[in-house]
Amino acid sequence: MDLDLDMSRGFLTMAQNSVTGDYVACAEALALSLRWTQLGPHKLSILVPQGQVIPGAHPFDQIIEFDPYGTDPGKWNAHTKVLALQHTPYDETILLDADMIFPSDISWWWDILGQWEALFCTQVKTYRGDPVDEENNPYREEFRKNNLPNIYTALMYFRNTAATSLLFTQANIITEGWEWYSKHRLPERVTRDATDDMSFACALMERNLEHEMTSKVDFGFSFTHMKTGIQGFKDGKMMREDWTRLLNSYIRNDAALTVGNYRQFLPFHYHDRSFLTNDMLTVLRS
Amino acid sequence: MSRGVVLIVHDNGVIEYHRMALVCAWFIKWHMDVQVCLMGDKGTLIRARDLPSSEYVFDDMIHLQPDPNKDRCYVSKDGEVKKEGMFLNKSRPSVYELSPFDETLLIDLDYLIMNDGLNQVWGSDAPIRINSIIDNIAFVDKPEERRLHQLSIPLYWATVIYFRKSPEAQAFFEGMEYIRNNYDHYGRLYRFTTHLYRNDYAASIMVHLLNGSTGENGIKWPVQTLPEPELMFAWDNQPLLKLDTTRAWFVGHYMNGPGRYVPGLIKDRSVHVMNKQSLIDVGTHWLKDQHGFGFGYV
Repeated sequence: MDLDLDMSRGFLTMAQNSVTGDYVACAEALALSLRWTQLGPHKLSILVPQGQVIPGAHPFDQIIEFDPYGTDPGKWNAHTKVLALQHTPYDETILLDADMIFPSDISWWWDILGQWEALFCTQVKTYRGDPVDEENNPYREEFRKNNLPNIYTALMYFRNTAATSLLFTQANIITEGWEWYSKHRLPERVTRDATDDMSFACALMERNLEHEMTSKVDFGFSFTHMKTGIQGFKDGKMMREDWTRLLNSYIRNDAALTVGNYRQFLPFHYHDRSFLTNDMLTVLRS
Repeated sequence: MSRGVVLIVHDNGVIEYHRMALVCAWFIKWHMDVQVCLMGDKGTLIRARDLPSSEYVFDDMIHLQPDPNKDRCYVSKDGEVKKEGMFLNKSRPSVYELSPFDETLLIDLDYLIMNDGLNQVWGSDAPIRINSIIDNIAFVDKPEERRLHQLSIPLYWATVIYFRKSPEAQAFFEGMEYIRNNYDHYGRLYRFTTHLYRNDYAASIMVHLLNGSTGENGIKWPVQTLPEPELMFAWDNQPLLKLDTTRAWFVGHYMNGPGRYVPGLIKDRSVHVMNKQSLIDVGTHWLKDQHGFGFGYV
C-alpha cells in the first residue's frame, strides 16, 4: 500500500489574483521553494476562487476552489483566510501568504507546533535578522490603539479542533460584519477594510484565546517581513514600499536566498511583487 | 606557538609614521610585553631603526612593499590645518603570509595600548577576532561609522585584528585582497563610496561572508569580537594633549572661543588616536623623558 505519511501535514495559501498582483505565480514560487528546501512536509495546496483557471502543469498538491462571495477583484482581498479551516486538506496546516519564499528547512517546527491547536506568529524579523520593534511598528498603530493581539496571519498554524473552529467562525463573523463591528466593538476607529490580521486579532480578543494561540517563548516561529518601514532604516517610514529598488537580491535554484547581502533563513515575505521576476521563477523551476 | 604584534609602517611625506611606530611599540611592550614585528618599506624601516632605542621595542623588521592608494587628508595637531598625503594602506592583506608569528595581533600605529587586555586574545578558539562596536571620548552619534551604508552590513574596524595561521584567516586576508582588487564592484554591491580604499570595508565584507552572511544577530564563527569588544576613538578634532603610561588626555569638546575646550581623560583604556600628528608630537615628547622604564629608552 502506498502510504503518504505527509498527507496529514501541509501548507496552504490563498491565491486569488487581485489588484495587487498575480498571486498564482507567487504561490508557484512558494511551492517550488518548499519543494527544494523542506526535508519534512513540503506539499502546498492553494485555495482559488471558483472559476479561476490554473493552466498547464503546476507544483501544487491540491487546487481547492472556494466561493468568492464578498471578494472584489478590484480590491486587495486580504480577508479570505477565514475560509482556510473548512477547506484545508490537511490535519495540520501551516497557512501562509502566497507572496513568500522558504529559503531553508523549517521541518523541525512541526513537532513543536503540534502542542498548540492554533498558533499565530507574533514577532517578525527584518531582512538583517533583527526582531522588528513591534512597540513602534508603524503598520500596527491600529492594533496598539485597540489593544489587539499583535498577530500575523501570513504565518499561522492550526489543527481542526473545537477551539480553532470557534476562532475561525468568530473571525468569519467579524469579517462579514466588519463595518458594524469596527464601529461598535473597537474603541479606536480603524480606517481600512477588513483584513485577516485584524479579523483574527479581534476574534482572539472576543473569544479570549490570545494566550492559548500565541507563544511567549520564541522558538523561531517567525518570518522575514519586507515592509520597508520596519527594516530599521533611518526615515524608513518615508521610504517607498518597493524595497527591491533599495536592496539587491539573488536566489539559487535550491531556493537559497540572499537579500541586501544577508543570507535569509526564515520564510521570506517579500510583499513587493516586483521581487518575483520571471528569471527567479525560471531559476526555481530548473 | 609563537605570538606577537605586527605593525605596518610607511612614511608618506606628511606624517612621520616611523616615529609613531616607536610610540605605539613602546606602549605595546610596556603593557603587553610581547614580540613586536615592524613591517614596511625599506626607507621607513631604516628611519625607524635609526631612532634612539628602537632596538628595545622592535624585535623584528620585515620588508613590505607599499601599495599606493590615493591621497587623503591629514589634520594638524590643532585640528585645523589639513594636509594632503598619500594613503599607503593597501598592503595589509599581505600580512598573513609575512607574519612571523603563529598568532598575530595586527595593530594600527595610531592605536595607543593603555592596558594588557589584548593579552587575553592569545590561544583563542576563534581564528579571527575583530571589533565592530566603537566608543567615543565625547558622545558622538555617527551612523556612518556603524555600517558601510545605512542599507548595508555592519562596519568592522581593521584597527586591531587578531588572527591565527589557519585556513579561515588565510581566506580572510585573501578575500580582503580580492575585494581590494575589485573595489568598485564591491562598492556597488555593499553601497559604499570607493574613492579611497579602506581596509575597514574589506575586512567588514570578509567578516560578513565568513560568518555566513548572517549579520550581527547571526553566526559568530569563525570571526568573533576581541576581548575588549569596544574600540575607543579620539577623532581628528580631538587631538592628544598629554600622556603617561595609563592615562591620555584629549580635547574632549571645543567650546566657543579660541583655545577653549573641555578635556577628555582616558584611563586604562586603549584608544585609537585619529589625530596622528598629535600622537607623534605628544608621544615622542613623552618618551624622551622615560628613563629606566625597562627598555632603556633615552
